[in-house]
Amino acid sequence: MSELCVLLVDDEMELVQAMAERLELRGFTAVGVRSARDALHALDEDDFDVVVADVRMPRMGGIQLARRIRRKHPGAAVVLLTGHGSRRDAEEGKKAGAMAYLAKPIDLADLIQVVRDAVSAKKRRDSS
Amino acid sequence: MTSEISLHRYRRLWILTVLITSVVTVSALLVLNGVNYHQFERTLEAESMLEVEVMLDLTGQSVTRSLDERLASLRLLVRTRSFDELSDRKTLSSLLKALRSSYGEFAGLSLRAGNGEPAIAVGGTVPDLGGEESVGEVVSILNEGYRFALSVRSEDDEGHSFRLTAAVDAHLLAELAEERDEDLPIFTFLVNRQSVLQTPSRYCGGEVLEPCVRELPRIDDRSAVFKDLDRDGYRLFWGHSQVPDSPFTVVVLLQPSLGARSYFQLRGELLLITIGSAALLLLLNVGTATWLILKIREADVHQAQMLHKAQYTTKMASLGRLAAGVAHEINNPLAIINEKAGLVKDLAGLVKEEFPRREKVVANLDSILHSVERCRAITHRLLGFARRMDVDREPVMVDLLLTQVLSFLETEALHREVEIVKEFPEEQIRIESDRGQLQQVFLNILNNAFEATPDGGTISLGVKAEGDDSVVVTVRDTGHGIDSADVKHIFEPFYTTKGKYGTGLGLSITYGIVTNLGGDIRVESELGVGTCFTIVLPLGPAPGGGGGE
Repeated sequence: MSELCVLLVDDEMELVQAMAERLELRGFTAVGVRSARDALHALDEDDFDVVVADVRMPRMGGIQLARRIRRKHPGAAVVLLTGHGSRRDAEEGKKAGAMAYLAKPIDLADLIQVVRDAVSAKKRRDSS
Repeated sequence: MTSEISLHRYRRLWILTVLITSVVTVSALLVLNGVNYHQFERTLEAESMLEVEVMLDLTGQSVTRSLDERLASLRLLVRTRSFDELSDRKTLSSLLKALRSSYGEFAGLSLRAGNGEPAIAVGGTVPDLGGEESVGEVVSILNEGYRFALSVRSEDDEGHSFRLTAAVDAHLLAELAEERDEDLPIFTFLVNRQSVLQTPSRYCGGEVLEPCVRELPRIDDRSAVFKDLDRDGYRLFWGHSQVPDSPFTVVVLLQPSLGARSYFQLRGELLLITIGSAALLLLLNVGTATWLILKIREADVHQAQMLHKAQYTTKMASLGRLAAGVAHEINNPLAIINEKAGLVKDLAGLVKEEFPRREKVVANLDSILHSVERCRAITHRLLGFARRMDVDREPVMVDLLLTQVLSFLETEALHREVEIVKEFPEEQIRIESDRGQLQQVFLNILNNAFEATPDGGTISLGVKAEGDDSVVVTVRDTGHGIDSADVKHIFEPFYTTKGKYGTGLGLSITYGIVTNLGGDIRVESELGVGTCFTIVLPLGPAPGGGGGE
């Protein structure tokens, strides 16, 4: 079976590339972009099951991106990443439609688990 | 030390307040009572002078009147009878009898012709009275007592010039000058021009014709009232007045010092009232100053606590922002290291063929990943500490919180070989409290314990339930201990035993927080043995509320 299609969004391209590569090694289809705007373009071009985005990015952050995705690409689940770990960010992200919230640096196994859980929770929510 | 200066400040302020208010009120009281006393003295003086004057007038008038009456009677006798008639012993005796029946004190009569030769005498001895005098001084007559002479001169129709002299008992004068009330400090007596007593006197302590044993003022012909001082320095009021056409002078003396009731008692009462009022004022001043200074100190303490709380909040907010910023900045490169190392490890795993030192490469990668994990734990703890500062009441596991706070000091404990002994209950104790504030309390107490404990010492932490509604946290160190004089003031603001390195606010704020949280904090210490802080915290209002660590 084909693994999930993941869009990774972070202004740290080094991080995005490494994560994408590692996810692909584990059978995922992973695309890395460096900004929220690039992420929206990518979503316009292709379908993604899940978008993993950093909360703090120049111009448009992960929370705003999550709001846009909820409006324009409701099929994609959103998982937020943060180096900050603020409780308010987590609450706002949840309000914006994010399914989960992870603090950097992340354990890849945790990310994969969270991504899978987010997608299945999203599907359950959408079908109900 | 700052704290001692501060305590001295309140003590000095208290002393100053008591002094100023006491000086102002007591001097006002003294001035007022002094003026009153002065007026009282003046009134008393005026009254005393008036009293002396009145007594002088009364006695003088009665003596004058009595002498005049008796002289008038004698004049009537000589004007209505001739020398020959009076020369008849029988007639003269009957006249003496008549005079005695009218006045009583007539003792004898003598008739002398104009040439001075005695013609006839009846009754007792009649003192001689030379010249033109009509009233003589009192003289003593053997076996008959004290007498004075009254004399009138006349000339009958036949041209006989003669003189009728009467001997009058000196009791008359004594009665006229009699002191009316022996309890009054007023003395009245008669003296002659040589200040020899003509009537008995209590003051002079003598009988008639005896000299006064006490000193009398100089008496002249003029009437006078004046004040003087006696041998003991007490005031006297003298008055003397010459009885006209007689050798007698009325002397009146008022000695207020003998009238305890009227003078000294009043002065004593005034003094007593002054002292009593001054004592009452001092007491009131001390009370008011104490209350005032306590209020000021209370306000200062409150202000200091508020200030510190505000500073603390600001500091924690800044610290929170800083921690969050640092954590974010570190977490990003950390994530890259993590992912890159992970990727390298993944790729190494993909290589089917063995390559030299594969195990060493993988072990190093694991080491990098492990270090990343450690860094992650540190940044997350930092974030967690900063994030929790703004939370109010929430469920708190006391031992976990204590351990968490202790983790900030673990490295120091390790380096200084300070042994940490934990005596925690098997079952965790959960309370409803302010996590951030409790963190501050534990951090303050633990910091103090670490500062006090020498290298190689021991710090024991204890948590145990007390009753159904509270938990007791103890922090015991084997430090240098606190002097018993300092222990009493240890929770007071600005009190520090750390000299210029301490603000004296840490423990006062800790005390404020613990009491605000409904708890209590105590300290026991022994010099050279160590110190034990005991914090009692209530379990909180909602033990059944959800959420745990």
